[in-house]
Amino acid sequence: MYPIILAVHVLALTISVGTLVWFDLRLLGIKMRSQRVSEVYRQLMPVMLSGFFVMFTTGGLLFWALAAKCYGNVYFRIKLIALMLAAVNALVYHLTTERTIAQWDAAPLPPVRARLAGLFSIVCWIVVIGAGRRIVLGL
Amino acid sequence: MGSTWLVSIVELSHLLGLTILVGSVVVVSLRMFGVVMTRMPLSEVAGELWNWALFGLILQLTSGVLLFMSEAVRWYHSGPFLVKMTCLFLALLFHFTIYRRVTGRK
Repeated sequence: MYPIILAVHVLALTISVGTLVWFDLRLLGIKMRSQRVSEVYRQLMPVMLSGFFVMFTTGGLLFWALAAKCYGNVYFRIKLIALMLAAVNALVYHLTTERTIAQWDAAPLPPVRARLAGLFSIVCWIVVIGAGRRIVLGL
Repeated sequence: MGSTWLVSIVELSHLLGLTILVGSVVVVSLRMFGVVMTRMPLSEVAGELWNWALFGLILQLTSGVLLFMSEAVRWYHSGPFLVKMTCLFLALLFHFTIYRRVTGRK
């Protein structure tokens, strides 16, 4: 069972982070510049959320199977911290930067705050993925 | 084998390449189904995502070769590895023929 859950966890990465990356690229003003930021967000959100639902479910199951060993694993802790930072980044974006979106929605290059949110998101997820891979080796 | 840091970087690259490549394919495929990015023409979506998908693919192939080089003898006899490589070949073949025509990419 465990290998299947692990495989699903890795594969769902493509649907969750793989889709989120495209929104981050829009925030950075690198891709899909012809589309409004809010439009890209609205269109990709359902896919992103479904992907993250699978990630957190399989992730929870994986942790549940190995909780005692994961807890002391340094890579697991790094991964959790990076996940929390990614969540805080998203929260800050939605609560503050996104408030002014009407002014820059259609702009090919969003304001600095939006771009930083996009960049920070990508960095956090790279750390999550890198640390996640190393968890197994330390168990 | 070499420093564990190098192994970490190669493995991370392989995972990132997967996320970028398959993530792009997922988004374009969903566009084909008319589920996402519906205000952009298919050819434009495919066009925007192509560079990054290509970057993901190159990342995958490079890190994949490096990973294989460290385990070549063992993997050569692995059934799942053979399946994976066959599917990869078919996927690339499909992409550079049918897929390209459908998305209108030159």
